[in-house]
Amino acid sequence: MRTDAATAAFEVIGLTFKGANRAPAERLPELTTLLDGGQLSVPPITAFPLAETDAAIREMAGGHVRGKLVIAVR
Amino acid sequence: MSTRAFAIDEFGTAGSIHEVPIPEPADGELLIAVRAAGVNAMDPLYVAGTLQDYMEHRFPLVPGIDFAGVVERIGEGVHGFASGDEVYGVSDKPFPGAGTFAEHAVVGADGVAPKPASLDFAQAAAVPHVGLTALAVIEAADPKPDQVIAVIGATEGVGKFVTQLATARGATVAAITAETGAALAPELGATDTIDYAAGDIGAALRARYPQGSTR
Repeated sequence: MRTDAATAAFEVIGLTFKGANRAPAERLPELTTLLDGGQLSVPPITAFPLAETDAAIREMAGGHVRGKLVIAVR
Repeated sequence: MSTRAFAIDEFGTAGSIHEVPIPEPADGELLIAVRAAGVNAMDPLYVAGTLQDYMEHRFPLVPGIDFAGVVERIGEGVHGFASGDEVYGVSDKPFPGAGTFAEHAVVGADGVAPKPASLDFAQAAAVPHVGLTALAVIEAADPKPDQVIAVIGATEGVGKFVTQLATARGATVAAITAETGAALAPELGATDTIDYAAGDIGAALRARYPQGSTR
C-alpha cells in the first residue's frame, strides 16, 4: 500500500531519480557545532542488532516512529 | 578477510547476514568500521524495490545511508583523516546496495566528518541524513524571529530537527503531527500542536494565526 502510494506520488509530481537524492554533506560540521552546542538534541534511540535489521526496516515502513531507529552494528 | 553485512538477495524478501569481502576504498573514499547506522525513510523503499524504475540497485543489496564509526583505511587523494578517527556521516553512493548496515562500508570522504564529541556512536548515527535535510529545509524556509512556521510532520525524522532549528532561530513553530507525536512537539520547542488527522489543517492554522506567518 505504502509502496504503491510512494511510487504514484513520485510519478504524479514528476520526480526523476538519477541516483540518490540527498542534501549535500558538506554541512556536517555545521550539524556538529549545533549538536555539541546543545541547540540540536538527538531523539531517543531504539537500537537493533545487525541480525535484526529486517525488524527495524519493517518498523520504519510502518511510519510514526517515535524516536530514531539505529542498527547497533557492534 | 571477510566481514558481515545485512543484505537482501531480491526485492521484497527478508534479508540476512551475508559474509562478504571487506571492501577496498577507491580514490576519494574511506573504509569505515561501522559502529552504528541510522535507519531512514528511504531504507524500506530500497528494500521493497519501490524505486527500482528510478535508479540502479546492486545486489546483494545492503541498505543504509547513515553511519557512525571508525576510519579503518584511507583511499588515494583523501586528506584530513587518519586511521582510528571517530567519524559520522552519510554514504554518497549513487545507487542503493553498498550501504551502511554492515560491519564495514566504503563511503566518499566528502560525506564524512569527525563525530560530535558529545554523542555516542548510536546517537551520531541518528543524525546525518535527517539533519542535513533539515538544514536545507531551514535554509529554504528561512524562518525569522517574528514569524510563525508550520512544520508538517514536526515529530517525524526530519521534522524533529526542523522544529528545533526553527525554534533556535526564534520562530514560533506550529507542529502538525500525528496524535502519537503531540506530547513530543513541545519538547522540541513547538508552541502549538495540530493533529493532522483531526480536520482541515489550513482552517486550523488560519483560525489560530489570522495574520498568517507574521506573529
